[in-house]
Amino acid sequence: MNQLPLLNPTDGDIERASEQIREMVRRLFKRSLHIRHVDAGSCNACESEIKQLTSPYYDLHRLGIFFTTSPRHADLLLVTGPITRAMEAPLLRTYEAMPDPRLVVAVGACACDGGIFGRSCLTNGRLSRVLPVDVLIPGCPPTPFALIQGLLLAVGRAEQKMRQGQIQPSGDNRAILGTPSPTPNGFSGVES
Amino acid sequence: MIETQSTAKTLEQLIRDVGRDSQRFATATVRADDLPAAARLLVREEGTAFADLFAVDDRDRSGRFQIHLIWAFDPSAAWLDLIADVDPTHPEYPSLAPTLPAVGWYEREIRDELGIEPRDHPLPRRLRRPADWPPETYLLRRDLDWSTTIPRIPARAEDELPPLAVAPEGVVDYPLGPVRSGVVESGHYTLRTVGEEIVDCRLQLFYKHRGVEKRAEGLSILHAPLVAERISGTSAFAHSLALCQAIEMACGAVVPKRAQFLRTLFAELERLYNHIGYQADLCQATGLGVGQAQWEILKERLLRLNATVAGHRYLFGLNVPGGLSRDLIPPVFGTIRRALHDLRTDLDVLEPMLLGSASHLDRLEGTGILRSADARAYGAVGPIGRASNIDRDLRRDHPYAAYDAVDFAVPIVETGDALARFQVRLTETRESIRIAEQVIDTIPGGPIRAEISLPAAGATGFGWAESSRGASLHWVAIGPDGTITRYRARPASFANWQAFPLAVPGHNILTDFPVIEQSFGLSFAGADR
Amino acid sequence: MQIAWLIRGLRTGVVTTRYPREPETLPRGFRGLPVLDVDRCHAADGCNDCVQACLPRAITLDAETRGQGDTGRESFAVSEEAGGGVLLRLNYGACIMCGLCVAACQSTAITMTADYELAVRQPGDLICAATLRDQGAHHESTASPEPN
Repeated sequence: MNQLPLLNPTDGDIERASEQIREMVRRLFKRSLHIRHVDAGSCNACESEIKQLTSPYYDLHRLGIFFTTSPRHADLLLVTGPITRAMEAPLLRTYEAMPDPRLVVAVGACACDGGIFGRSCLTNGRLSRVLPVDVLIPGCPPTPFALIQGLLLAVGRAEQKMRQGQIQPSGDNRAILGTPSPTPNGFSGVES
Repeated sequence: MIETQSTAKTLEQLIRDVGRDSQRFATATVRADDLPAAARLLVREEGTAFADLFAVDDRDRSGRFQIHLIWAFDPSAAWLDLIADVDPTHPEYPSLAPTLPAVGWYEREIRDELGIEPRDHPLPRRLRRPADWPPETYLLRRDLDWSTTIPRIPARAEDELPPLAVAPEGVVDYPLGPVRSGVVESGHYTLRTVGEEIVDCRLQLFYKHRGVEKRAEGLSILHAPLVAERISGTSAFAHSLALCQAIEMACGAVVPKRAQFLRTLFAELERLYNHIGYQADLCQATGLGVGQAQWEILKERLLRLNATVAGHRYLFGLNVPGGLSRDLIPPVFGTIRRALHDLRTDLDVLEPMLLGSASHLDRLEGTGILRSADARAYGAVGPIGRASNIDRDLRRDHPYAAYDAVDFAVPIVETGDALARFQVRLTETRESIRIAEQVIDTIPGGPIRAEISLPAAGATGFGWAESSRGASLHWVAIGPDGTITRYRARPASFANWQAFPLAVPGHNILTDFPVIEQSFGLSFAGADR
Repeated sequence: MQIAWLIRGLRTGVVTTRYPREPETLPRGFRGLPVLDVDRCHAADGCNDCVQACLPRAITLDAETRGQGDTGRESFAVSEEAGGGVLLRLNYGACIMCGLCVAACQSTAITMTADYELAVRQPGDLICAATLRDQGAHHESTASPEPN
């Protein structure tokens, strides 16, 4: 449904519109997601866990998620590390090379809130200081299962379990909401 | 190992003493101007090797800067730490680089971070310091606070590496990085090619410089191992082990036997998953997808084993000063033994398959040759050095933990190509399993953690461990209040990266580059810290 | 040789997890998430063992909001409750799951669980805040997080 733009949108209108757009973006990426990873100064444990995602035990491809080398083809930017001083500019250039719509995910304690480094003379300490972040995946490093949950959360295919610092007890213990099924003509368009 | 002051009157006498008495960490003071002469003497000693060169801001205590030159004496399993005082108002000393090419990077680091100038250094440019960091702001001087915001300045040409000469007709320069293809660490290469052949490789690391050494200053000895673990997460156990051993030396602590054995076991578990993961990465580089998948399966099983026995897939949180934070109960040893048995069975099947895959071997043979002389001159360590005929392994030559109680072979290959590095790691994997099994068979009972009493006046200590990539060296100075005043970490990758550019030119074509890089299997995080 | 790899692949079979369709639990002892039991916590009596033990300062007490000038951690406005009490806050975004807080706590008020599904959209959801009033206070989430 197309809404005509309001002449004098209130803050509430803008917030609601932003949420609608975010929801639309998530749905666009539901069935196929291409990720560009950038190492912004990690210790390499996070990278090792990310690499395991394409190993036979996890097989990220079965979920329609792929890694791409070119930021121009990427839908989601996956960032590890406390954003070192030297990597800030290359990280920003990679983000800017990504076309809209794009998602950004912070992986690990360093990218979420600085890890053991925090903000310092050499580290930014938190990805959200440099880029808008859509999902944070805590851990040191987060296991591949945690990464899967975080990536699916980013595209609206998994439920958030942590609220206000507490893991919500879920009824059937499943994180997933359900993969979207194709509409009769074989493609799932953006719903209003 | 006890730190002692030598009674030798001359450096020659000192060197003879250290070469004779085993298991010593000897310290001695020399004048800064005598350092090159000392280096020339040491270089001639058979079976010895350069270990580390770093500086300390000791103004709080002695009013001076200190330069430490640490040398390894393999035949006597001893170390020599030559300490030279430097006047903070005239911070300089004659460069050792003309005698010892291996110290090139180390001196640039001292120059960057303490402002001590190496006179006549062949390439006095910034190394780790970010391009936009003011040159007179010295990271490791004690008066700089970790949380200070340092302003950004434009990069100065005189501090950058001289630009490559303009490429003539037919020569192409490929800049790769720091954001590179795939899920890899950040670092920059410039490859100069003539047609397909690579004629030069310029390396620009240190994008991941987080200031780990600075971060540890002011921390308690319980927190410092958390920092050491996160220098390079895939060598977390080795780094925290070396640091804890340095702290134990400083405090004169005796680690219980059971803890030594457990440390050995975990160190080998770490080596195993790294070497297995290395094979997967190498298969990816050569395009052997089926091989990559099989080795990834083995790596995942080992990571899950780590999670089961240690509570963390990468063995974080185990080493504490004095021993270990947790013990293993007998059923867990059974689990590990079974996993090792299964691993060996899998290797018995996969190794011959890998060695029979012509496409894989063809891409490795003759690729990325690091000549033995170059490896020695630039101080290559670990499996990279051993693949270029450098017969050194800290576990055998300077036994720590329980390595003197187990039997294992150290593979040496002379050819120095990617195939050699691959072979060395295959053999080391087998030896790792053997070591782990011996530990499980012979581990004694008893406590796993000794009490640590901090010396009232402060102390220094040195620790080492052979990580999966080579010799990892850590030095620590603890102040009177029990917190770290200086932490020096020299991961193996820092030493090995210096040698890497030498293996790239020489009949290697552009598409060989990923194979060469993966065959070294180094850590950017370890080098950058 | 290709046949050998093919046969090996067939013998290995399918090892792929079905997560998230089917839940996966990590082994007991896995350091996933430190969880606070307010009924056992003595912060209101002056204990701050866990705060001392935490290197990234993921656990903080009272008005120790980390502003920009400090380590720069997430800071959140917290509504003050009348009648005193101590606010204990765990920031799971900064937590490195090292377990030193668990080891330091003399009252077993923090235990490590093997939870790993910690991903959130808003950083505020990673903050667990509890007001503690002497021994036996019940958990009240008084935090009103303002997402950054």
